Amino acid sequence: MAEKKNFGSRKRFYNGYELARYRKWKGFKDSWVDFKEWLKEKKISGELLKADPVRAFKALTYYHWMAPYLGSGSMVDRTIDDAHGEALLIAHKYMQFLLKSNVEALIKILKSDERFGENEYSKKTVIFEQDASPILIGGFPNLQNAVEEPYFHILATANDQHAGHYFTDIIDSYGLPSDSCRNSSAICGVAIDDQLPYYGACLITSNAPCDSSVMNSSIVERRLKVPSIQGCTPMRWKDEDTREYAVAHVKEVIKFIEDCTGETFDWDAFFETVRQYNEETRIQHELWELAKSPYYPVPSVPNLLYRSFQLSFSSGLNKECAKIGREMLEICEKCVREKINVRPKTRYRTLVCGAPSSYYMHFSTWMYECWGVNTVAVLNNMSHHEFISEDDKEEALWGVAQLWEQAIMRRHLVGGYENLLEMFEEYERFNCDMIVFYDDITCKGSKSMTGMIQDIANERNIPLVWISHDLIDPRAIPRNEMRKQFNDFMFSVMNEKPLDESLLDFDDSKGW
Amino acid sequence: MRDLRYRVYFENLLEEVKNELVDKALEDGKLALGYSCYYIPEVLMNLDGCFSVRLRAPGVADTAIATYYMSEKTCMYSRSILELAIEGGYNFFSALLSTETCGMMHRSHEHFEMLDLVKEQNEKFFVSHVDAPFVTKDYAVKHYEKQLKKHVLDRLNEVYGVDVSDEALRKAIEKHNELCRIVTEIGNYRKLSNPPLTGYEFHLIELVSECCPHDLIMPYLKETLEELKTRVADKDPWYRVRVVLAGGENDDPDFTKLIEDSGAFVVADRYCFGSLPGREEIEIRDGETALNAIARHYIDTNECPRFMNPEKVHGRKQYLKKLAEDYNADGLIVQQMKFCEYWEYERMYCQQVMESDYGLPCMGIEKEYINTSTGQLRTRFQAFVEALELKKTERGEQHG
Repeated sequence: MAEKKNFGSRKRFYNGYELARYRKWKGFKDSWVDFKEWLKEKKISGELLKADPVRAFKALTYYHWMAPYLGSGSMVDRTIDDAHGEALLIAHKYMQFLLKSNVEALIKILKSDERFGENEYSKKTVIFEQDASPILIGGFPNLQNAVEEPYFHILATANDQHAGHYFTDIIDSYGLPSDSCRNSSAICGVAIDDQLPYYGACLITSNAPCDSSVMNSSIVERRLKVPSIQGCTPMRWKDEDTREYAVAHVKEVIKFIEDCTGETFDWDAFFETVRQYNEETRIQHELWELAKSPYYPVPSVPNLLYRSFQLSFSSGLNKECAKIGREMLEICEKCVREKINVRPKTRYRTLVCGAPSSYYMHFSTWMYECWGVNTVAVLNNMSHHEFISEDDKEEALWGVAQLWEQAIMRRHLVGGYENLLEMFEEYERFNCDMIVFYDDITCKGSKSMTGMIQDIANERNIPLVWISHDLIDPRAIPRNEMRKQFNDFMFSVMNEKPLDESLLDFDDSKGW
Repeated sequence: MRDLRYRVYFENLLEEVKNELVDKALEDGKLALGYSCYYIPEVLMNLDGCFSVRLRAPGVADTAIATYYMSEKTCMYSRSILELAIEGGYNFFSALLSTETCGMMHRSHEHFEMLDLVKEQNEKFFVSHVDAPFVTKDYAVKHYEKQLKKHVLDRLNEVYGVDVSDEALRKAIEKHNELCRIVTEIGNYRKLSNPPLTGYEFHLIELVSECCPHDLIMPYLKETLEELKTRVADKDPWYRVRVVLAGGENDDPDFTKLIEDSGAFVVADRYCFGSLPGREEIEIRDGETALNAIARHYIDTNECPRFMNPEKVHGRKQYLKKLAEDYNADGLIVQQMKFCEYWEYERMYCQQVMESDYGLPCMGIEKEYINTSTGQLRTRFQAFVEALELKKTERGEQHG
């Protein structure tokens, strides 16, 4: 097959790669901001190696998932490629916050890792499995939390598209069919390949978001070899009668952490964390209000990552989270108030549903640049957004239970079909004129609703496009194939012409 | 061996969901209650005036419409159920009692609501959803009991006026236990070295007991039990090895037949729709209400891989080992419906640990609801039988 040659705006990239010969020219002011902020990001990434060089070096040579983080600068560039003016500043601020938080979390993991020697941190670490908010750790000021899974394959794959399939190949060769959720199976590959750090006082597993993640827990538990308690959050979370059971589970988790660590749950400290969490939630609600406006400046990918971080990693534990949120809010308010349009290419406002592909997190960036399709809302972000009681203990525990019940993806995939169909309400709420459904081919919860979703979209005359992807493995459905699906839809259904033809068909299969 | 007197009759009953016994019960004014999963206790659907029908989709060869709704990347059992539902195959149902246990199966049940299926025939028809726990702690059992009351008993009482009193439940347990005793007694013949019963025949018997009204199938089961007491087995055992068949949904007796045609006698049926577990008697302990006992029983005996606590995770493997010992099995076959995420993991896990940790040779297979690639499966079963025979030879045991 003839090699595709880059041209136009892709010309600055090496053929087949995401590696650029030079940075994108965004005009004098924006390019200066971009370069300045890029330097800051490099500095933040460097912290990972600087904090404990010996452990960092050992980790780099041992852990397969570690090296991709060296490419985080490129990942940031990809996700903010479509940002200009205020949007550029927002995107950089979001990404710097996320980089900093992730670097801190990785440093925490490395320092606690007993594989590289005993240390004082490991026994102070409580591990939470995928999707379980660590908010309870707020009640244990002497402990730290670590969130299992995302760092080892999801974020690693976001940095380097080829990082995750190493682990899915392992679990496939172990006998698991590759139609099983790739997100859940990849962590099993990490576990079986002995790529999980040796750390932690205990593990809180999770039954979120789906059947697959229920099943992968026992494999992770078997490999981690620390005391564990199983997540058993109710599925029918809208049923009021599940409350007693859900709260009993939260109480049991608290007692379990107390027993494993010798610490006592501190309600005052916990309520302080809840207050912080509520502040983060309040900011998010205000941002959503602004997102209804055509002048909402936030690019979708940094926003998606930030919200995921807020729910699954921070939940009030990271003080910076609300601070950065407030700064974003101010910039957004200014743009809306002064009608500053920093997304001028916008031809369609779209709601994005379904799990985005880890290896193509920046698909929305491409949609905007190539077709002027601006992602203004992300259904996954509309996960738990209730406030938690700041003074009533029972109510607060119920709030924690709900936070787990309505974790990202779980919020819409379980508990009744109505939850997924909320996408149509969100579509109206955010004044969208298109829905892009990230069709993870291994996600049974959404796959088994395809006909109904399509029927409703047809009935309401809503343009809806399914973008099939594999979540972790770009060899199954490459990035260009995803783009092709969208191109076909835009040409044949929307009858549109691209804004930038050089972005229609190009090869980035070998890149990060 | 001579054929079982009712073998053909049982086969015919399983040809259709709405078979002649179901018709008879409907004529008698009884309510047909559909269900798919062990998490919905069968006994609750056999209260006075009701009978249970475990969801099967015999005869569904093409799932085109269901595939439109649920995509081709979902479990074919779930799609077949939906296909038959759209065709009107369950229009005689008064209710569908569902649990959000397996995601895809539950989604197919949700389509009954989304597409307003059955409602046209019976406007009182409802779908009810039970939240089933993932662990076996006391608070989980309590939660399960509460859910069963709210989503099964209270709904049946409110909509159809079914008597759901403790007394009515006790009566239902008594009748349920009688059925279990008979089926278990029949199943116990499989423990014999030269049994007067094949795994295929038992599969038929177990299925009719799940898919036909209990009152009406009971006389046939009793007669079959009597027949087995005098049924003479062939002089030499017909099989080469004995296996436990475990796994997910399996309501296809021809699948069991395929294994047995390859020389492996299916001595124990530990799969969804099987009798192990499923046909254990419910014991009401001192101080318990009937519903307490039912909830406890169905959590205790449940072997679904969805349970996450280590007692259950390891207990499931120990249970398989115990079955192999009790039924004198040489090996284990774990079957899994394509796309079934619970059994994909469990099957993989069993393949990795059953031989090394429990000394039980294990083969795992992935299958479809409607098996078309029988040739490939037969080859694999034959290879497994040969491997088991070799092991027996190495141990100095006789074949068969």
